[in-house]
Amino acid sequence: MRVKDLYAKEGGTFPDPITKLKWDYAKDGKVDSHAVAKEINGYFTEDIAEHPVDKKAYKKETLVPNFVFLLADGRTACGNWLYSGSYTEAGNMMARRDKTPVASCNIFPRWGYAWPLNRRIIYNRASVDPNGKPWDPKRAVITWDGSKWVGDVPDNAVPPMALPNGKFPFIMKPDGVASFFGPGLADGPFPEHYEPLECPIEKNPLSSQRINPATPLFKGDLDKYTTCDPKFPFVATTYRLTEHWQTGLMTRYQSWLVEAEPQMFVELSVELAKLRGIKNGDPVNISSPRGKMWAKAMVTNRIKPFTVAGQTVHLVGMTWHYGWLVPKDGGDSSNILTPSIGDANTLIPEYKVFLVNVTKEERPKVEKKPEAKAEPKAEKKPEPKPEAKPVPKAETKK
Amino acid sequence: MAEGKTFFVDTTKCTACRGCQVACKQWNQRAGEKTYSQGSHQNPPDLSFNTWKVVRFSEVPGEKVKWYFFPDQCRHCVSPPCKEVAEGKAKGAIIQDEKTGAVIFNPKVKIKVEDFKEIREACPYNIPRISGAGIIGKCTMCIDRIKEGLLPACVKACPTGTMNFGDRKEILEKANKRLAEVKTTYKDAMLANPDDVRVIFLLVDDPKKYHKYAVAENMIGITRKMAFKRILRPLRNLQIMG
Repeated sequence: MRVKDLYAKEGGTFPDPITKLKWDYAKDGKVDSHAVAKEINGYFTEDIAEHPVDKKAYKKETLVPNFVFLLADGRTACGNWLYSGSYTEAGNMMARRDKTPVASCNIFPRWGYAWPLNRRIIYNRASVDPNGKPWDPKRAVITWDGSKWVGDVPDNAVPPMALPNGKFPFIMKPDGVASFFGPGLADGPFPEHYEPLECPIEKNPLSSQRINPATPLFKGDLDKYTTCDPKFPFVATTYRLTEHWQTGLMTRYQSWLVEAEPQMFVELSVELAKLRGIKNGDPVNISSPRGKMWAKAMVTNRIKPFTVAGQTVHLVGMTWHYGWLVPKDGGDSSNILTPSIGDANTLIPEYKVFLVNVTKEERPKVEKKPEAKAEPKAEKKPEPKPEAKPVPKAETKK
Repeated sequence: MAEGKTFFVDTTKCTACRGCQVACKQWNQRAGEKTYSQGSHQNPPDLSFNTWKVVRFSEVPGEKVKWYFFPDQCRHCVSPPCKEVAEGKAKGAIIQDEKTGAVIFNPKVKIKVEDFKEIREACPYNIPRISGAGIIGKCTMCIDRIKEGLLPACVKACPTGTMNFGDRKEILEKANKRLAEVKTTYKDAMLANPDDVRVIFLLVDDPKKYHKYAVAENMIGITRKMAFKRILRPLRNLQIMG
């Protein structure tokens, strides 16, 4: 709101997105999560005399019952159609805690809310035969009682398939059926093994095609790739920690999480550490054709060298939770090293395998001794800390 | 004292998520520390005035991966040696709650550096820490939560069943039952000093491989030292008076 006021007062290059931002979720200076949830659910923006869906009248600002009631003419507003129905005039559906199941199986429709339409199992009509009878009567997710569906909220409330208006159950698939391979995929029809874009071997041992031919390759300045390159001999992989969320932008400001995982690290095998003269806890440099970064070495027997096509291949692992401002000495994100390539259909990044080099950092980082800095911070009086240093005198003379 | 309360820490179930470590800091409002990655995921590196619970990571060297997690904290000894020592140094600095058996520091009593050194030395598990202002910091058993019928924060937060808490008798039963189960897989499984402490760890390997102070080195020796100190105490007090 302060930024908005400043823009209103002083203007700016492109003020409209800020000054015209709708932001009325604050209550007593704090964000009211209920107001946000209601906005996501959706509401009527004006009085409606006769709604086209149920011919009933709705007042302005009444919450919509679900997305079926949304109108494309501006008379309704909704933050996300999937969650429409999660916060209605009946209250906060997400906060419900009624453990009563439906009669036929362990589905708890009055516990919380599930998108869309509080449906608990998507494509649930696949669990019945063409006449609407459950394949497994003991666990009947949904049943056609002759005139309507009972059990879970039907995924598309059309009659069973044997009846005239029946439809296939996989309503979001182009042909309505489940499939290993179907229309719309860039590669297939059968699963195939390809090597990653950057890999330590020249040839795909299983076929003549090394990488997925249907994957688009970018051609920007930073899109430099390499394979079997002695300059980048090691395989790198990336993963996450429980302590940080994605880039760490939210969690790195949380002092209890950042104290638990404070800095960029690279996990490597005892064998590779020996090869490169790296000791546990040493600062190291990691480089790929695309960039270079710094990390603390974590030497572990959890990572072991592979034997790939007869040669020893070393693996290193790191996270992408660090970077930029906080903490100042946290290091960077491994995204500096990763190649921009994804799978052929959705471009889900191929950050699990790429090539890097790891070397001991020649110029050691200046870093204060952690022991000296660690403790007295929270104390009001920053006196020199007189903590007795470990007294591991496990005495006892017998 | 009544039977009191006891923790059972089943390390076979610990995944080192550190929910307990963070929950402890949250409930007790302890500040985060400035830490650095030092070749282990363990951080903060040790207990401190602000860190009362720390999950210790121990990677046993060797070809086979053995990675032990030890959610370290005050053991709330049945007869706490730290309290014994504190009695002679700063009376009332450490007290024991009648009902639960919780060993609690008194934040209002300041302690001299030399005196604290002795208190810490007396602890077989190397737990007590002190602030710059001479205040002891360590686990309180979340006595403020227990009195309200709540579980300690670390137990409440534990998603795996590692941290358990309850009446001593029931917890001992639970610990022994689990020990028998685990013994079928790990023949060296043991409970760490179950008769002496109110935080009983279940370990499946040499305790030293978990943490230097996982078990008391020699409770008998410590007790003897305590007894010795107890004999000396009146003399010292006399000296002060004279």
